[in-house]
Amino acid sequence: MDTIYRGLKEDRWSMNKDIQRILMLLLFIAVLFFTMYVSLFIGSAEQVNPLVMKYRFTRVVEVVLTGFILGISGSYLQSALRNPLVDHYILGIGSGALSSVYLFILILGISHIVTPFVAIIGGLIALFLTITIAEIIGGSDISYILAGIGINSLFSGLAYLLSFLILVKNPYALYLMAGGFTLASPEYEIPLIVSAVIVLVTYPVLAKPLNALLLGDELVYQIGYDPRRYRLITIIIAGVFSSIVVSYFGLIGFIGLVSPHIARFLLKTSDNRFVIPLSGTISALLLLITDDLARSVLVNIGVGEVPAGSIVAVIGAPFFLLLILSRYRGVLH
Amino acid sequence: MSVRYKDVEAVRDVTLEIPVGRITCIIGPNGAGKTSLLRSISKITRFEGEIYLDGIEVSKTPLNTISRILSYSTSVYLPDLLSLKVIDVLKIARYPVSRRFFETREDLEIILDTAKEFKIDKFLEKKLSELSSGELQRVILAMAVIKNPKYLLLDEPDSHVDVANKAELINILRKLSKDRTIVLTTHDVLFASIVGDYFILMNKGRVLFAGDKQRFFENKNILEETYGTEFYEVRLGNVVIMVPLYILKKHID
Repeated sequence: MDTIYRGLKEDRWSMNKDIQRILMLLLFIAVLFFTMYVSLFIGSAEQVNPLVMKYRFTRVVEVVLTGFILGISGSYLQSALRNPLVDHYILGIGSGALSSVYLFILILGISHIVTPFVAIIGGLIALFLTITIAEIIGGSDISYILAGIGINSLFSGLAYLLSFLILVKNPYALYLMAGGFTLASPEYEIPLIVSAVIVLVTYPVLAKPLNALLLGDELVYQIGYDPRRYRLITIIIAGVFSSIVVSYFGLIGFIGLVSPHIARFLLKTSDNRFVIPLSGTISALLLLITDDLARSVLVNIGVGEVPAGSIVAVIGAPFFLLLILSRYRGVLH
Repeated sequence: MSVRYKDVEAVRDVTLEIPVGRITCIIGPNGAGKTSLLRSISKITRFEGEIYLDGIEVSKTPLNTISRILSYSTSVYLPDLLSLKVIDVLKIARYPVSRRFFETREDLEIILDTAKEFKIDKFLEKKLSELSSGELQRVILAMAVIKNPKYLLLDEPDSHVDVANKAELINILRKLSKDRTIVLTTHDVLFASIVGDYFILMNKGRVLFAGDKQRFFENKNILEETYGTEFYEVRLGNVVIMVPLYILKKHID
């Protein structure tokens, strides 16, 4: 009798934790949809005409999709590289993508169909450069950051330079250096939805291998996955889709870094089956709130519209520093 | 079969048969090729030749099929990445046999039972970094057993284990060997002679001896040549064990 009772109790204890985690995810998704609805009515004008409403709807949807893709990419990169201090921005994917787009515009002009593909090439080149250099200098989590700083400086310097040269063709080139959503337009909707769906479809396939990757290559074989193959697939997916986002809205750093950490903290686990979707949801929510601030509050107090990416950086960078400090002092994680 | 690393040949033209349902000990000095042999059987290292497990050829079989019937476990450290907990790593270790995306009730019950068996059920919610090396060793063993593999390959399960825990380890291995084949490597001939049923002696990539306990004791001169020291047979009740003589000799001189 006693053992049966104890067995049941322990069983419930563990099942409940997973159920709680799924409930938490659903709660955040609900909050996200509520915030999307509220965001439609936030703005500078009191009387909203249908055209403005339509623009806001497009913008809100694109902000959420962008946040979702960046949040998932961040958790993919952190798990695949076994490094909690990286995201698409730190690894240079963002600046690589942006500089290649600007180079393309300088030489051949603007094309909304081709630029995402150019961005993917640039983003992946920068990513693999960073990874190669980081592995050469030891492969620790700090070597990734050092290599990222180097690659980032190179490509963002290039992008900055090019943004002046292409100012006539693309007046927003400089603005995209600190990404924002002023340029939200209906033609980005379909590519963003497709990207988000592809990223979402890869999640059930990759979540378990990514959990196994956390244990180190030796044990991954044991669990039946080839670590090199899954690491490559994951990194490429994160690289490709964050590059596409960058080609539309520019450099939005730190959101992909912070969101997986918040998700892990709230879920009290590193299990990617929960962390990946929650990270995507939290990232979308945070980016949406930031964009609401950017286009309403700061406009209303007379500052004018600022790029959401700059607000994210101001909040995200201190968090990043806190993470580095805590890793050395063992406070957090 | 052979194993090559760039220009070093770790295992040279080895032909072996490992008996089913018993504990096989692979012994030999450092660099003998013990670990390479185990890693080849587990499809972690590439090899030349053929290895058959239950009639399937390892190099032609996908990794996830092998991972369902075989566990390879090594005493290397487990990283405490992103604050992994004991319960997390046990869940991960069961992936090859759990069919659903999330663990079923049955999976969780097996995880809890195994944790109890290895006396790690008290710290399922602890982070890996908070465990002692003995506790970590038990977690690693539990991870190898949790998918209930037919073949259990253990690379030096007795390293980082103190004398008291070694006795416990021998009990666990005996219990585990009841319904599966265990192959382990060790440096400790004494430990091997207590726990093993079948012995393989390797040196410099070659197999010098393979046979059961009786033949192993009869051929102890090969062992003595390999290690360059004499071994004593000590009878304790109905168990015969092998003690290296240098331990005594050093103190006599």
